[in-house]
Amino acid sequence: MSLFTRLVILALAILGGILLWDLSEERLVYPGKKLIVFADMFGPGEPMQRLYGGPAEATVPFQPFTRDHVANYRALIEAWPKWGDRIRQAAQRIHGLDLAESSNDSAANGELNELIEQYKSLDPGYVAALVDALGQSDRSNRLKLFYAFATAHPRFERDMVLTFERLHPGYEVGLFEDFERLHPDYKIVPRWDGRWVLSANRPRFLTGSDVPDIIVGSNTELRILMREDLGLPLDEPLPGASKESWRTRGVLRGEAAYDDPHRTWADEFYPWALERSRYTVSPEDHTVSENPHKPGEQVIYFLPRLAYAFPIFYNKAHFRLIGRDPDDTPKTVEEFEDICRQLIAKGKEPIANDGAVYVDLWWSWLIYRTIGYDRFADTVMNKPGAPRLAGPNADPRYLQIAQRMRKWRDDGFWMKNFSSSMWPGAQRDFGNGRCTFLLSGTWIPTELASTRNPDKAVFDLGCFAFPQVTGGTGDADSIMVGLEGFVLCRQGRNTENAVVLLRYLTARGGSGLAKKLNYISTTRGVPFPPALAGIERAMTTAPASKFLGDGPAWYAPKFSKFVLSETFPDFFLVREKSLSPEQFVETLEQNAQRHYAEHDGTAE
Amino acid sequence: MIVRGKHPRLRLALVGWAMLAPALALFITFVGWPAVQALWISLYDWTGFAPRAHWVGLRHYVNLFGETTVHRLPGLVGVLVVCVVAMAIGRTIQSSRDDQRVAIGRRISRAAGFLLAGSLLAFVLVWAYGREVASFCDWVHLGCLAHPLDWWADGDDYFRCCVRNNFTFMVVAGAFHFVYAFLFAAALNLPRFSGKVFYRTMIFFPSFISAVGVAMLWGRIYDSDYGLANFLLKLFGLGQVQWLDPDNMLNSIILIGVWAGVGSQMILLLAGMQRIPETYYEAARIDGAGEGQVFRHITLPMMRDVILIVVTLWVIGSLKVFGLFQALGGNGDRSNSVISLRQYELAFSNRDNIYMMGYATAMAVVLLVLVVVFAFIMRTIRSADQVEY
Repeated sequence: MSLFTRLVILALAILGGILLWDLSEERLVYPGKKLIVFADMFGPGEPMQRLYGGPAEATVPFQPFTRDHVANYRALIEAWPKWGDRIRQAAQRIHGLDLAESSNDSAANGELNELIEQYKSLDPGYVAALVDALGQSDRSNRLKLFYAFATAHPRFERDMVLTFERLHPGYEVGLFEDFERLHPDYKIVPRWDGRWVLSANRPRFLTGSDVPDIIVGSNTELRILMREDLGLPLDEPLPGASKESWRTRGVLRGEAAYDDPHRTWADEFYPWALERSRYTVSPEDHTVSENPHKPGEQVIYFLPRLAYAFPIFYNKAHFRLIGRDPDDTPKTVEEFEDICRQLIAKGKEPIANDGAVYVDLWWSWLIYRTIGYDRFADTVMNKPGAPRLAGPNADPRYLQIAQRMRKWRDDGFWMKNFSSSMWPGAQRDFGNGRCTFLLSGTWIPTELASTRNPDKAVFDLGCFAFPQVTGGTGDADSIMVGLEGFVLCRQGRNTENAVVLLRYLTARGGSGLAKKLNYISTTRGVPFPPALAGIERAMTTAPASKFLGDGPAWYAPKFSKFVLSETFPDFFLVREKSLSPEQFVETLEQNAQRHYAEHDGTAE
Repeated sequence: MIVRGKHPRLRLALVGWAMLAPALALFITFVGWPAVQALWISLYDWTGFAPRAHWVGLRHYVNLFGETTVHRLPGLVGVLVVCVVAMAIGRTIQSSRDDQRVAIGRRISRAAGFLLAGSLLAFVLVWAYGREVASFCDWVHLGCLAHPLDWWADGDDYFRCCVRNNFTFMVVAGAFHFVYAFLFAAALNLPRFSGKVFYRTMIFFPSFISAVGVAMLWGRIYDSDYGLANFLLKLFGLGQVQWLDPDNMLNSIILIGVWAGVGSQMILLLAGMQRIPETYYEAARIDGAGEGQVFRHITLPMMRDVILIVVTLWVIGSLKVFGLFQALGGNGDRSNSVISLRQYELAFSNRDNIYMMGYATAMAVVLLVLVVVFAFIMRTIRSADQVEY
């Protein structure tokens, strides 16, 4: 055999091997395991995973226990001396800690005393079980503990167990490892596809090859999978499904909650979260993308895990500066305007904003409070009889809102040079005490944790729901939420396995991520992030009808892009040829009419 | 190559094709076929997530250019056909053995080439700047001329704005690029210039940095409150500039583009200068030519090919520019967007979630045509007057 022939055979063998490896989708690597291919965002070592890894700084003062595992061991020993020896042995075995000597640091001892009191208040039965679990090298033992006590302690959290060991540097990785320990016959194959995980998987969806079983993202981002029917409908019977319960009741009703066989999986979620996950099939979805559902039908393709709201964050220190009670947040927009004027008089710049980013949130909120979310949706969707933005059938309040916003700009409510500020300039200026208000998502406390000014006299974070508008007909208590979660991919090969993992991730045990990021868990019973205490009552007690979605970006993304977003910079920003409020609503209406004409009268 | 046998010409041709085959296969697979596919995709409504697509024919192009423009396209096509026919006739006459006929043929084909290039350029400019041209006509009381130019009346105004931004970037940044690159190259080509390697490296260094890196770096420099640029202005008692203001953004990006790209042009121009034999300069100086005359009559003409290549590369690169605009200006504001960025927003962006692959591909086809038009114009200029020494 010549050298050339040998080389050709070698090359073919290598190519064949690569092909086989690729087609096997990791089955060769994990023989006998039940695989789950999970398309996720940030992998181990990436900055965002590290952010997930530890408790957010803003939540630390509210944590029942300190994040310092040494202090936890010490406090536990002091609070429950009868188990002292066993606790010391555990610390030695897991961390190599010698806890024989006590600290002489008086400040540290002061903090320790507080911690000791917290441990003393615990139920003795729980502490006994906790001590039993300490020192075990298998974390699943402690997770079992967690599930045993989760029902008994309403504020019992995953962190209370994990505080006795080093947190996994990648939070999601830690969750996956925990799942595999609890379910040894399963193997999760994570794909760390970065922030734009959907784009990274686009070729897979297109070719139908190597499609992940689960993909993560926000409901607005994953909307395209719903439109194309590439996700599995979760709330309707699936005639061809392999499981009997899915064929008759659908996935959400046909599966039990992870830690309670008497409840369905659907019962795990807040009703508003599932309600906001419903996707309404549009005419274009039906004709262009050939979605089998009829236009107007609502389908749940998306499984929520976290919710983020859009309150106004504020700096309590500035409220003190103008002689106002820092917890006395404005109840009406007029009161808010009054505070802004007082702040300007004291040399402060009221609203932090980066160019046209999020400035539209102010506009949206004013519309929702003044006119109403559903009424605006009717306008956008060109429903017969709905008020228009300008012209003979206009609702004059659209113009009034624009005039109000222009007055805010002219009166200096927005920070100086906001038009040229680039993200995250506004966050930086807010966190360092230059500005008083920031309208953004509930991820802000986490994102600010490492960059804000630590001095409470300069920056003291609080938040409140967007105030009412006097005389407004919109719902004064409604809450705008975005959702983050999963789509179960129709073309995935391991759907049943993936459902087991998703049930785990959306159960209380797997929901700790919500608190880490100061997000609100969509699973019932998971504690509310303490940093968002200002909106806790509203969010936990409000009925489903109070929760608003992402607005036009969710129900009419093309209208949102071409008509709204692309007109906003010409009105909101300070520029040579800024539109006047009258021109702004007229331009919006003209663009809207052009859009309808191009889309057979619909908003799309 | 000597080929023996019954049909030597045929065998020679076969050998040639066999040698070309691997490169040709790669070209067809990775360039030719995708280009044809792009043309095909531009005729559909398609999200790019599933194979299903909806045939719309030329609707995307009509939406891009507007019906007014589309209705006037036959006139332009007529002019182009006449020019191409005239060029073909000119080439045919050129193949004659009679010197006089050759000269006439050359003139015909050159004139037709210029008319073709000029028509294309005029079309592109009137389409992109129609509104401005019409306002100018009104201003000089020649409003009657404005009507035929009202191609801006419909069509995708955002896209037209992107095209204008691309042109502004191409012309303004290109002019600065070229002047600075030429000056640097000329300075580094001086025989007694010390520290050549150091300066060459320093000027070329920004070319090593990725566009996103450059944008992030300059984003910090441009920060209105904490940036180096305003700090320096303040140091000299000058006022603050809002570098990243929507009205200033394009100029700020042009400045960055010049800083980042001048090095690579300088290297090409320097190579061109070093290629000119020293004897030409010596002969000119012996004949009493001054430095200005030497530059005008030797350096510039001898650099003609290199300059045209540099300009052509810049024109193509500036029409396809993406990274700088995406990293610094990608905020949905039309005043600082360019064609490639718009395509990305419409076809791929997870922020906008509209996935209009067909429409964005139509833009890509238009961009390709623009690149071809400008490349053709450069080629016409290049072939107009060859210099021989």
